[in-house]
Amino acid sequence: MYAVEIENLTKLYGEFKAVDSLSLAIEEKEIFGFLGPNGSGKSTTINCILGIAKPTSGRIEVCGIDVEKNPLKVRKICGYLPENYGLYGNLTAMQNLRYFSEFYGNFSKDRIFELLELVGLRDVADKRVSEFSRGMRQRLALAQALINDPQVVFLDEPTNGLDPAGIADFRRIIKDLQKEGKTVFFSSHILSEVKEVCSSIGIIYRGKLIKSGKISDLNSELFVEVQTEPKADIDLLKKFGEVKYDEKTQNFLIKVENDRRLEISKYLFENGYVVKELHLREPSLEEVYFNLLREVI
Amino acid sequence: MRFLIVAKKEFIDIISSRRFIALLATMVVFFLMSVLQTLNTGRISTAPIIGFFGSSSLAFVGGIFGIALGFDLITREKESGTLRTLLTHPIFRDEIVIGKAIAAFFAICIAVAVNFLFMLGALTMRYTPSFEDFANLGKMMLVTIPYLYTFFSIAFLISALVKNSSTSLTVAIGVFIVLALLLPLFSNYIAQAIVGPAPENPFGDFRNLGNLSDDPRVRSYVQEMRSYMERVQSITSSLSIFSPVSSYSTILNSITASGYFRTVDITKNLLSFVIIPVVLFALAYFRFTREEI
Repeated sequence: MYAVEIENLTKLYGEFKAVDSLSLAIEEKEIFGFLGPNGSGKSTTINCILGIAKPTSGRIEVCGIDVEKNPLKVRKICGYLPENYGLYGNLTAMQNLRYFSEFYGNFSKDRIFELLELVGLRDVADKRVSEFSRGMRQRLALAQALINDPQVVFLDEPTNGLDPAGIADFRRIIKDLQKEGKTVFFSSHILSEVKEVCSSIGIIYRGKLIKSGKISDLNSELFVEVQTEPKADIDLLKKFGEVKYDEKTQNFLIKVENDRRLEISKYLFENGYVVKELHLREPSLEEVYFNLLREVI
Repeated sequence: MRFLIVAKKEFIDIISSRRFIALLATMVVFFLMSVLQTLNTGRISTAPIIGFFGSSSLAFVGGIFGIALGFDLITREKESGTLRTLLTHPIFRDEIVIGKAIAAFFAICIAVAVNFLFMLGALTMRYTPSFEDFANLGKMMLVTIPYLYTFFSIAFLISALVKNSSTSLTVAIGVFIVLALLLPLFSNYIAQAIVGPAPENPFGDFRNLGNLSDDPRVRSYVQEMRSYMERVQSITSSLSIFSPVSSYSTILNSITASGYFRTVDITKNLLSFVIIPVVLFALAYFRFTREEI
């Protein structure tokens, strides 16, 4: 069973297609990074998963529960940290968490204090949220998302506006959540954040999922970068794979299936070339991301 | 019963808000001023006080109170993003609307009760109120609650229809002006425009009618004129049903009036205080439960 399974999700706002035939499956206990530029349909997808927005077509299941048929059941096992916190400024941190916990019928002061402790707000439990800094609100919003001890946690741009210490705390908490057996759906437009904590990703652009899979799989394209003296014949190198020549660095870039540096080095030497530089290059997640975007734009 | 969780939170929010306290204080001041002013004229009775409230202070301040309570009840949640957060917890949208409506109802009850306690206090400083005074005040309370709730429902619907609080407030004030001031002011003109011109006096001068009372043309004219006035009056009173202020004044005057005025039929006005909030609430409910967030 998948933690989240989406089949052909489409969401229209009038004529505008916010999400377009999106299909996705997220394994349980995984930290899934949902990447895409602003306005690409990330939040709409989350809204549909949580039953806040009604899909125009398609089917969504969370831990095997159909969202359209049982939205409340789904919400009972999900937690959501919204992009703009969504907390009541006139209430204290404690009152906010108490209010949300009441919907589960399991209000427990100890649980609230435990969550406040987790996000580092135990000392300001009785302070009004309107007096909180951006980072404090973000932390409280995370506590709010965990109020029901959810199986799946949705985090919408969770590190926006946080200082480095806050970001580090968030990463630690997210990894701890995974260790506790929770699935984390991490929506962001910040690649470095996703790369840091996620094991798999999905890239969405203009409502379409253009790529998804394990980060390691996305980085599967390998290149051998080589520079020779004198400049080697490009046709000679083509036997190893697709070759490009970079005039600026005077390097050949050979797309390979696996690490073939030894063979390339030997072959060039046998053909009378001296290898000045030879190394394996993996594209960064950024390169994968921008290459994919370039392909679809 | 999740709507009760929302109702409890909203009720506490409302009654502890500066806005509620300020408006309540304003209402109390208006009430007390009116009571003391009426008592100073030497009238020792609740009847003139209630009549005075119905036509001025409470009708106006109360209307604003109702509007102020509801204009941002939904927009504020949309703007701050709390609605989205709330909806990710196990609660349906209709439970949120019902919870808010219940909270506002009880807040209005509290406001009315506080005002009437002050009113009673002011009265007892001058004399011991009779059973009739209590009965009158009780009736007035029972009418004032739905009156305030009617204006709340108007603002609540607007809050469900628009995206932000400033637009909601502007529209709500506009509607308030139309219903509280313009409609009562122009209802007679509107009625005359609908019914058409009054029948012409065949003698040109009313002074001559007295001498011609037996003339069949005069009887016919008087009959036509009566019928015309009844049609105008019927339309005017129908239009006034859409003005909660007019309905409220009519009902309060009827509660305390005697003799000829007691015959005024207030059924339509009373019904309007039930039907208008119910219809507006249903519209707000319909809109809110189907709105894309």
